[in-house]
Amino acid sequence: MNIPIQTDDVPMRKRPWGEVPFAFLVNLSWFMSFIVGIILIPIHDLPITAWIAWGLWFAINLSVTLFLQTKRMVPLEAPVSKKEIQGTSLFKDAINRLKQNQLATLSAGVLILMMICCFGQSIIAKAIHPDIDDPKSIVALENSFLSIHFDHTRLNKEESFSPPSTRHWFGTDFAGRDIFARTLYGGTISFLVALVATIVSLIIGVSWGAISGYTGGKTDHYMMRFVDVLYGLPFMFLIILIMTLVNGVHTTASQNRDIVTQYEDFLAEGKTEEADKVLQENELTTNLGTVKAAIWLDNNISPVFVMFIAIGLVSWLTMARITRGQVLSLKQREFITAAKTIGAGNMRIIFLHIVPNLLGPVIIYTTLTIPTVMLTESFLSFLGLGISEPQCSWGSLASAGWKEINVIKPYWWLVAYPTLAMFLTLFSLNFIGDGLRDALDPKMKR
Amino acid sequence: MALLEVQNLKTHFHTQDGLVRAVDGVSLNVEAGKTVGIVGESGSGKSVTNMTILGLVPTPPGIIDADAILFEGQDLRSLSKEQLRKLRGNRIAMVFQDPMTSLNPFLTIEDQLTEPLLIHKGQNMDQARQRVLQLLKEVGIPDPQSRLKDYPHQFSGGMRQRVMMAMALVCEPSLLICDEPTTALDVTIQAQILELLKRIQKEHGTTIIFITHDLGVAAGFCDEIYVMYAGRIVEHAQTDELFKTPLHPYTASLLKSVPRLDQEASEAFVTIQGSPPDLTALPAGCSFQPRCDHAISRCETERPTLEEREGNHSRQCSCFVDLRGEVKS
Amino acid sequence: MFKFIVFRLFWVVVTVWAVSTITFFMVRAAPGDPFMNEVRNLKEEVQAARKREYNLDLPLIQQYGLWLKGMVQGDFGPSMKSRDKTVAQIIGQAFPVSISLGVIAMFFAVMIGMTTGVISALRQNTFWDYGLMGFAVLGISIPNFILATILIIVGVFLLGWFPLSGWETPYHVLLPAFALSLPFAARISRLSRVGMLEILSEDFVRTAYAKGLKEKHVVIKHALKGAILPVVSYLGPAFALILTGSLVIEKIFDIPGLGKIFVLAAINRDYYVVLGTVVVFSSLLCFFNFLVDLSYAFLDPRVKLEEAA
Repeated sequence: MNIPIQTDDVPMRKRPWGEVPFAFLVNLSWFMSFIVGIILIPIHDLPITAWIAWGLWFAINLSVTLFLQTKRMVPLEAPVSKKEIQGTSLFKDAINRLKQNQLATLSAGVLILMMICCFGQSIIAKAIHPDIDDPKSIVALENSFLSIHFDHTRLNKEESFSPPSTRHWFGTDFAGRDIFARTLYGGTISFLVALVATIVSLIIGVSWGAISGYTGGKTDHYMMRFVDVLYGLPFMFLIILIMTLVNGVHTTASQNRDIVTQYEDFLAEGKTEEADKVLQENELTTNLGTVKAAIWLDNNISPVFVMFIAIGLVSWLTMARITRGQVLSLKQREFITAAKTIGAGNMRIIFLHIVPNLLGPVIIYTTLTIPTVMLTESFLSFLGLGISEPQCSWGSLASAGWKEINVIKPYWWLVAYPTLAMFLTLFSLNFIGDGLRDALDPKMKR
Repeated sequence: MALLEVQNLKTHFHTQDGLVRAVDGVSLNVEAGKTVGIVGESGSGKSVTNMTILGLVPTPPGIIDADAILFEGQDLRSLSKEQLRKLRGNRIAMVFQDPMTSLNPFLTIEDQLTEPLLIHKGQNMDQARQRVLQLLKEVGIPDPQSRLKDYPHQFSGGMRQRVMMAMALVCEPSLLICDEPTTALDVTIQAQILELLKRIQKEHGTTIIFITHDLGVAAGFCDEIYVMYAGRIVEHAQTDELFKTPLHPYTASLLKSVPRLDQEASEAFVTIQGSPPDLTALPAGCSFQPRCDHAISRCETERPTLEEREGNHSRQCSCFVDLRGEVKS
Repeated sequence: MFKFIVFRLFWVVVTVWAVSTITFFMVRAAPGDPFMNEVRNLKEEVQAARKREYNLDLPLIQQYGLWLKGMVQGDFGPSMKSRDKTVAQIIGQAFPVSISLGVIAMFFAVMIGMTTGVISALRQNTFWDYGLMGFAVLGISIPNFILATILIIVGVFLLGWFPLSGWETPYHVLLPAFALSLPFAARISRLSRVGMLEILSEDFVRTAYAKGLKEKHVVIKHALKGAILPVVSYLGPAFALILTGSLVIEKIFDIPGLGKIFVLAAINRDYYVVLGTVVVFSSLLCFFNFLVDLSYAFLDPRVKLEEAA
């Protein structure tokens, strides 16, 4: 590492790569060039110019890296000068340490790039196809560059199931929709699911744990007892139940919505006989009540929303436990007693003293919850209970694609790209979480 | 012949902040049957010296270099890892500072104490148990038979330290290194442990290296003392001489800064000015120079070496300004 | 100790009861009934007769009471789809399959996870460490059905060692159990690495080396017991997740287990089957958590059982 090397005049040292300016950008550039390279390979009709461009990018990376390597020799700072001891807050200290962790910063870069691409696609798609959210809008077969590559609802039966090509970088699905656009759109949904579910889990979990821990005594005991009982619930089964119910409601509603509207129109016009006939023809005489309830539910609560909440409900338990543990140990600490001695009230104590100290483990656990949430969502999609068409998420894309594939139809691109996207995201989140844990852990023995 | 002879030991560590010179040229000479004290503040390198001798410093990130490390005539550096391992706990044993964390909380003391016997002496469990019981009695654990199956957390602090010592003595080592064995204990227990050590030394003739930052304890216990600062030995003398006429300014400051019962209550405490050295950025000359009241210009540029005084090889000092007023040329 | 066991088992029963009650009312809360998706031309009288047969015409509370009574006596109720079998029979057939899959997967997960985690910790920052931990991150970044597919491609098609589906020979068990275990092996690997590293930096490990013990001896006898604790804490939630993961694995490998039955029953509104499965899984889970808590007392002598409760 820092091996002092004597030169004639000034002692120099070789600083680690992480300290070199722009190292982060160079790392990111290298990583992206590899990913793009992997993506370029299956595109069978790629013009040579693309490969030349990629080669150029590679060469630029190489030359910048070599150039920066020469900047690694730096004069050894004079040892006798007493460095000013600046008080760093825990956060500044943590951020400094995080900045030095190259894996974590690279992962953060990758993650941010992905989010930009995904949200960018949403913006572009909305711009070129303004009523994109209306499932009934028929898509004219636009052939502009933007439309082909970024409109995830663009149908084209003739191009269905085509492998990756210059026209469709990631190939197409059964309806001729571009997988690249679908993957990016799915990313938006996946990130949204992750965000909402995590926020739900955070709000419930942290509040529960904090209140329980801070109040202590019998309240604490019973609150935690409740958590323990819930630990015995096979949550996933309940989620499956909930989602099945929700799907059932949705199906019933969509099947019968028009019929019920017809019925009610007749009733409003006073044509009771026609109204009854409508019911009889569609066998709704006995269960009209339930069907109406289903329609009302479907109109007011989106199944996706229910899924967000349901997934969030799964992970709040551990969040509550962690928070409570932290609050308990914080309560004993002297600075809380000190704050009380100077007359700080409970609210002030909670917000100024306890919450900042909670942030560490909570943030870390959050970066680990998001992968779990995304995987849960893909699990539900696989069972047919997740996001339904025309929406998509990485999980639903991968499982739908998986179901299409067999030995005769080896359409690997349906699965590979969404999986790759999910893999990169979760991979990055894990390393960021690890980096955060290392950075925020005051016990670290260096 | 000295039991342990260390010549010019250097242990450096490569860290992200620079090269840490934890031990920077230390030479020790320990005669059999003696009690030798190593005194210094935290970070002076006293523990690292002993860990290096025992071979417990991992070599990345550590870099070890010495002219000689001789134990009972054998050069420890020429031994293989296996051979060195066979010496540890067997011929050379170590007692650590905090018995609560230094004993394995998951194992009974019977398990932990019989281990060295089973491994080094090839005894079976019954033989080992007998020896352990005998030793527990010797270190003063009441009713040892009933306590064999107990866990460390079931003992009090003083008892735990006795257990640690029993564990170190179980194979009858010729050298016992005690790394601040009494620092974590309160004063009355301290005294008991020191009594115990003295008794053991008398009865078994064990050579003891006693590491501490507490001069008072060293005074009452050791035959001779090495004073360490910033990874180097700054003074070495027999205990009486050291306390009567300290030669190195650091030793003198240490002695002065010990609060005395007969001090006036209004007198300010004497402290050593400045702060402990940054081991990655030691000054070019004498390491103590920034904090020394007696420094001359030579101290800033030249690094002093440990040299004999009065032609006595057990009276050494590393300073250009002897406190008796002599300036070395 | 005895008091602890009794106390905890009591809570297990309470939890299972609470879970089943919640499930009962949740399942019945949705609009619709089991016969919605069936042949839509059933005459009203036939529908009514069917409903009477399954007690669906009684008030909900009464249905609940009847069902609970039956459960306590071991009668899980009738299945509304497979009209010739009782729920108890259906579950009885599928349960051993699922439980063996789950247990073997758990075993694989712990074995693979702990070995790789310990090796990583001992050879920290070397090629082994980065490689093994890289694989571990892979295991938790890819959905399990994709992992299973990759394993199938390798194990069945490329290597030809394993049969594709079914549940006859021991060979049929290995690949699904392995596929099921991978995400958990990955997590356990990371946990044991962290746990091991923490233990290795403890003073008593230093003492052990100072006593002249060999590395293998120090790791196995001194360090492992402490390093295992975070893994044991994880086993509880892991078991729950293994049970749910089995839903996917059973589907992919066509294994006649409880998971498949549950999903079908949920879609078909086969109430008693759903309830039966939930009760069984919940009991398993609670009991397993209880065992985990009990094991703390054996692993860490400093833990008093009242604390663990």
